[in-house]
Amino acid sequence: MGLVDGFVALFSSWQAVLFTIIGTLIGLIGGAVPGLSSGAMISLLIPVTYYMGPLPALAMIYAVSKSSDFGGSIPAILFNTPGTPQASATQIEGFPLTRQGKQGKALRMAVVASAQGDVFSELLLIFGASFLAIYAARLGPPEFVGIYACAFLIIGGLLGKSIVTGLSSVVLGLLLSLVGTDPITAGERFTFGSFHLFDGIGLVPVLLGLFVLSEVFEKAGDTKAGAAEEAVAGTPTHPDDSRLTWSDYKRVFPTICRSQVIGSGVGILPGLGSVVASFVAYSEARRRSKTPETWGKGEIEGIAAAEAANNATSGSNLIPLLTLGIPGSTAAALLSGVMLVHGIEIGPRVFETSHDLVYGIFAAGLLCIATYFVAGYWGAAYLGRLIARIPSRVVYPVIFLTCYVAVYSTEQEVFDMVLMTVFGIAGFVMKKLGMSPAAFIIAFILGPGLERALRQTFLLSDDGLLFFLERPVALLFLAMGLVALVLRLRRSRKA
Amino acid sequence: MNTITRRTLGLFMGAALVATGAAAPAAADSCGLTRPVKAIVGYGAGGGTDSYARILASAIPEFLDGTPMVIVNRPGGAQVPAMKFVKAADPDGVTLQVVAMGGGLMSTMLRDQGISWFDDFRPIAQFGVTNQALVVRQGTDVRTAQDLIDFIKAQNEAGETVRWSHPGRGSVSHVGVTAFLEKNGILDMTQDVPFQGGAGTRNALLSGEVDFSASGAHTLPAFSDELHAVGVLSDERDPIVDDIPTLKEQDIPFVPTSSPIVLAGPAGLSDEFVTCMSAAVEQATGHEAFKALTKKAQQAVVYRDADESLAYLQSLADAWAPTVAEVRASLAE
Amino acid sequence: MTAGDHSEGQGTDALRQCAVGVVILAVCAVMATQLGKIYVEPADSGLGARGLPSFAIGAGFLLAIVQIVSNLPAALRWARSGAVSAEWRGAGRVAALVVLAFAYIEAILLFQYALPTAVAMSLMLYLFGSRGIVRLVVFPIVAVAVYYFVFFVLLGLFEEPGSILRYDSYSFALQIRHMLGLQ
Repeated sequence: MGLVDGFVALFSSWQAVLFTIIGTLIGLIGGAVPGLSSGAMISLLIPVTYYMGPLPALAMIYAVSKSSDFGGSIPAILFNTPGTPQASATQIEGFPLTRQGKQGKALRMAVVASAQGDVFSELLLIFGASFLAIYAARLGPPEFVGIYACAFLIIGGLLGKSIVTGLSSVVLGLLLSLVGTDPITAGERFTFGSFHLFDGIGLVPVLLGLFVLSEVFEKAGDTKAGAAEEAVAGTPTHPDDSRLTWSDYKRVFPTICRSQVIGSGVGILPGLGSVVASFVAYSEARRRSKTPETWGKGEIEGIAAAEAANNATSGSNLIPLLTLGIPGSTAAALLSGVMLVHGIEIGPRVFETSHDLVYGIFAAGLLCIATYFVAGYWGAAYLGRLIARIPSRVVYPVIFLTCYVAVYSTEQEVFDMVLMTVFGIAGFVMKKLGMSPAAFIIAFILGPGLERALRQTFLLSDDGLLFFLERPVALLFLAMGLVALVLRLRRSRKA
Repeated sequence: MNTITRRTLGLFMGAALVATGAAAPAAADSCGLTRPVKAIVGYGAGGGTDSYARILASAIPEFLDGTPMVIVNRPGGAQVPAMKFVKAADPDGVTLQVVAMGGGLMSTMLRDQGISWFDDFRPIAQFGVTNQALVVRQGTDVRTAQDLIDFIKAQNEAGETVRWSHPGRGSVSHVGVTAFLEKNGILDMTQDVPFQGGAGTRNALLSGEVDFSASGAHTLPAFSDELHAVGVLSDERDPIVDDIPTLKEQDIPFVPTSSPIVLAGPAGLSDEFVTCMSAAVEQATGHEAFKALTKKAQQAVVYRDADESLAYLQSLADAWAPTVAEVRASLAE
Repeated sequence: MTAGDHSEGQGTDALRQCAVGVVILAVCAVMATQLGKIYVEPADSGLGARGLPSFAIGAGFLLAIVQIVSNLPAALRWARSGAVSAEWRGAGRVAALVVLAFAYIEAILLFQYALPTAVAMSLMLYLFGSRGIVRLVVFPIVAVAVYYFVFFVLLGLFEEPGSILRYDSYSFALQIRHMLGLQ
């Protein structure tokens, strides 16, 4: 039995266990620092792994990528500033809870949902990898066009104040994602001659600007008397505010289950990423909710949906990587780099040729989940109480300047600081106008993938758009997106 | 697809060497460097060229008086954005590039990208090489390069266009295969489709979207049950997968398209710096850790100093020039 | 809720939607000027490299026009009523922060990281309402020390030399790394 062998392999090496735990803690802390992405942390650790054994090296890298997914939700909930991009869906419900003094409950909800989604995804990876990989491999460019278009329509339709402003945000994101070089011809476009823009507008400056700086701008403009005197967090008034009760969990359990399926599904498809997973799961949970009026004002169900989906991508991401050699995320790409250096031949037979090692990594994944669950569940409540005392007039300057040094750390380019500031202003204006930074960012992330898939589709067949008629799966996704949009239209007419 | 961080950071690299007690520090000077070297890589972190660069970066500080080498990834656009970045940098040795020269040369020769490589850059040393192989799915009747040519012709007669995948126009596999098709008079019977990276290119073939492809030869052993290599596009067999015959052995017209991995800098680097750096690269390639890491990663190590590299690259460029001109013309039609 | 409140809400909303339309229109117009410069490979089918950019710009124009046309009357009515000024409260502080941000970046290019960060931190704290020596002087210095330690020592970033004030923090950071046994 593979997993048993994996645990034996993991626990027979004290280094592997130690580095899994170290990796988990690095990921937690790094994930909690806005702007320091898991990709950045892993790149940093790669040279260190050259001199470690394969299992400790891979276990550590894998643990960093997993736990940073949860770590990012801590500042999202406490300060309305996501530590990682995928936590931006968590902040929608998380921060209002903090304002109400329920940060302890919110953090515990996040860690429980994260861990459950993660375990589900890990089990899927362990027992279903080779089976699922076959289906993932069959999806070609036309199917991806369908999937991207579906994601655009669902998110654009649901996240804006109105459908038109939502779609406007999507178009704006799409337009800015086109800056840089063409994915097929490599010709440059929309760079306005600036060589900083040759490889496009960087994601980290855009994210930090839109989600973090804009928040500080908003706070600066908040002239309500005494706003700056207040602590960021409210004070818990009831013991249950800092607890996650059994009845809370029972209520959100179905949402977590649905979200972890969404997350795992998105994780298997290369290139969509956990930001998409968390927003799709959040939108879906909000759409299904019987009490839509509680959403956006601090609904733990929203945290559960976003976090379960976001962490459920981390295990299933490895499915296409291990079986087909296709990295589905930055973290997976870096993991494959470490595997390359350790001479592991990633491919259909990796489960046989590197049996103990692969299952050892899976075991490390489970150990990592247990570690961040323990640290998160009990540490989070303590952290929540601590944060409640810090006044916002200290918090926001610190967040502001942390962004600048963090964005510099990703590329060591001062230009990124300028870009981040510009997007900070843009995010502030967008929020004022009722546009959706979330819909914008999804389109911005998915734009290049959509374009590549679309162009490939036209090259793969002489039939042009008619080619989609031969691809039922692609049509299905397109139809799903359109139906979601029409349903939303009808509902907004009624309202 | 560009995932969460499109551009991934490269930071301080030399950390672990001394920690492992690698070797006694050799007599070395810093080649006049007072700041860490930024080595730009035109591909994402985790890929083949990136691994070469990172392994070099982990071994070289010892021979540069402790000066670290930092890897900065600027992926996309067939390395052209990365080349433009390095071209624009001061020639003080702080900004260098680890470039896969096959794609690097071809993308600049194929199209007017504002780069004339031999005028704008100066090679410091070659320290690796990758070869391209023509691959098809296992289980078809195509076993040799001649079979592939016959298959394309037969499909053409049946009114079908055979499609093939490569990791981007101007990439070494794109030009290599185009040259092969052109030389055999079957270019018009095919359509190329660019995919993302080596993995995407391979998966398009695995999933049946396309019928053949070109792939880095060293990546093939892991897929030996699914894919079949009909030949390597070089004069000599690849040192890592030496069981695949070359097209030369098969007497099929083609243009050799090996891709040397080269450390280069902007034109205007001083002779002293280039000589000094080139020597440091040579010492690094002889380092035990470097040898062990490249061996594990199945990466071929070939060292050429600055002058040899320049001469070799020029000979490659000359060999490619006629084909590139033809491909260029065919793209412009 | 009174009827008056309701119409005011609608008025703001109409103005906002119009503004969104104008923003999208402006971005599309700027990008449309670049469309013709995109290199198209003759071998590509359809519009090739100009395909998606054209579509996105077209969709943007369409959405923008829909928003402006359908909301302009209500927006104008509301704007004439003079209630807009309420929206601009606090704009001065936001503008101050924007200026501070750009000045901070410029200052980093001139004086490297430490000095501008300490000054910016102090100004930010003042802007957000902190007062007193401890908050405005001691805290920024401590904060800069922490940033230095985390990013420049532990993560090994290096600074571009400033064009007025130049110092080598990298060697210093390297020494600390040695002391900590990191290298």
